[in-house]
Amino acid sequence: MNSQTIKQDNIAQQLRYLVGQNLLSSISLILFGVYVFIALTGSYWVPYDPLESNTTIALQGPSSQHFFGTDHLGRDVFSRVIVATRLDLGIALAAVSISFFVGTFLGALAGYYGGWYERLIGRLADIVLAFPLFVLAMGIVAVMGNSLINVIYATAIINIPFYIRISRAEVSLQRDRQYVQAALLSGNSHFRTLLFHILPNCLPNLIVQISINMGWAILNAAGLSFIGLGVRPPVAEWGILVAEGADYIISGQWWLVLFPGVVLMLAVFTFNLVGDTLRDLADPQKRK
Amino acid sequence: MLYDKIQLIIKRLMLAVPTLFGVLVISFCLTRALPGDPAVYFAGAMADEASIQQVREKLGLDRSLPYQFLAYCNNLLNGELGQSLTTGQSVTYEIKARLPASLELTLLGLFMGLLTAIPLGILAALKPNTWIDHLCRVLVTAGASTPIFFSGLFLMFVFYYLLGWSPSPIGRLDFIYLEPPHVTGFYTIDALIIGDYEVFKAAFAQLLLPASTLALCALAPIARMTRSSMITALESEYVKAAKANGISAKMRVYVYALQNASLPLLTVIGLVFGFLLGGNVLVEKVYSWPGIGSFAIDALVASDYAAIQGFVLIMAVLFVTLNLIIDILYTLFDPRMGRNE
Repeated sequence: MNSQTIKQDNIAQQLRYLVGQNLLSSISLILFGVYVFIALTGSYWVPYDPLESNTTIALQGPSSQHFFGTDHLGRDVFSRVIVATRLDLGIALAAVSISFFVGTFLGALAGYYGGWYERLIGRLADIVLAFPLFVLAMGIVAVMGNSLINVIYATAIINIPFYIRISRAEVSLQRDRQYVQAALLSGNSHFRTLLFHILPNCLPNLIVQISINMGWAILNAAGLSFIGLGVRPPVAEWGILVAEGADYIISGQWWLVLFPGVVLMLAVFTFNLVGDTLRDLADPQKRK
Repeated sequence: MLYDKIQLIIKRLMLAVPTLFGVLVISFCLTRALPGDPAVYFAGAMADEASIQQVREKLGLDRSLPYQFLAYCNNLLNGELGQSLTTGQSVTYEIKARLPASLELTLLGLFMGLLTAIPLGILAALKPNTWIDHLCRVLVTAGASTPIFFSGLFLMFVFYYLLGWSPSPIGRLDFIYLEPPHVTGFYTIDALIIGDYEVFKAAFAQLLLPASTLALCALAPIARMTRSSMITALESEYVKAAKANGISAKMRVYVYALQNASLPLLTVIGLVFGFLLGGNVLVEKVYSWPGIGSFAIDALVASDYAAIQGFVLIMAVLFVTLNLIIDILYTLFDPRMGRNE
């Protein structure tokens, strides 16, 4: 009875309830909005051209002119960090979308049809997870070629198994429910039933996974570009910005590493927290 | 009972066979999926048509794929991973020489992570919603969000540049020391074996910062798991029964609850080891650590494929083996296993 009424609440009410419950959740949602805003509009309002170098002001600390200081070529670190947001979030979003669609589809088929197909898909997921994932991503990029698109593919591949597992488990829970029988009886094909009747009911858990995965994907892509894969200088990307600053950290130019690093960390933190918030939303037991 | 367990362990070992096979297939695909013709690549830039053909035959590239796969497995069994282009040595030699450096770092990192995370998790579980629980939560969330290369550089800045406590963060040993004679390949242990405390201290001081970086990365999942499985164990019937029977609090926490909570912990350690093997690459880059991670990065920059493939394969085999060991330990320790078989 109680869960019925909560289910009928709209999302705005649920959000308000959660925000009241947990300060961190509301902070994370605000931060999420800020990041999306920066990614969409950042390149239009940054104070300097992120690629414009001016060696007369190289390696200056933070000041009122250059909030985050300047790098070894005199480029404005603040502008570079802001402009990089779109690229980093874009890479993560592209990679996570690929793994979401491919993984969910494969997992759903496995969960629905079962049999040897389910065993095969499950085995494949296990094998990918048998690798240390960052190492596998390195190997994939090395073999497919060192380019941005391959970094996206590699990040997507290492995350696919998680979606396979979740959607397989969810679909095999749902497939014997009565509404599925009803859908089939009223003339829907198996495929249509799976796609339009079962999968929408599996979405909550998948969405939680998407949010957490966004954080991993950002970390993974930044790690790969930190070791020189994918995005290349002079393009502004958080991993590269930290890598460029790494040479100056032992001579005390901390701002080159600190600002892009903190912005990167905060982005991952935000997505992790949003994931936690969504998990609470998706889990009716926690909501009570 | 014991017989059942042995049976379970054998079953587990058999289950690892298809996984290892899959790992081999994927690494084989990585060797054959090179852009262009591998023979042209491995023959080198100066090769003519005849020598390319020669390399093709030598590598077996003119045969069928299943044959090539068998040949690949055969090479692996002989410890043959090909030639590294960057160093001119065989990949097997390079990996053998550099693996101890990476393992020393990873294992110390894991150990330090366990040493801080488990007490933290226990304290948080004993006093939920106090400052220690909040501290645990903040550390866990921050640890899961911090890029490992960033925390590495941050520690370097604080402890080397600002405080000056740490030696110059480059390599395994300051150049004024001679490396200890090779026994295990772990400098700290080798130095202890010959009783050279000076070198031990120097090697340990070099290890401390990179290992702490890895420990920070390992801390989060271990503390989270300790906390949640301790809370579950402490709320369970058997702990209540123990309390009702007048068993002391210390005994309840450290024997009754912790013993039961240690099983899920074991699983998490396997998972964390995987993170650390990946994170190791980044830490080795930050601290110029001469392990297999920095070898792989050099190879990546130089498109040295044999070296990268060897690296990926070794990492995967290490990870699979560790998980297998953990599963076997799990079977041995968990009295419930093998009872219903």
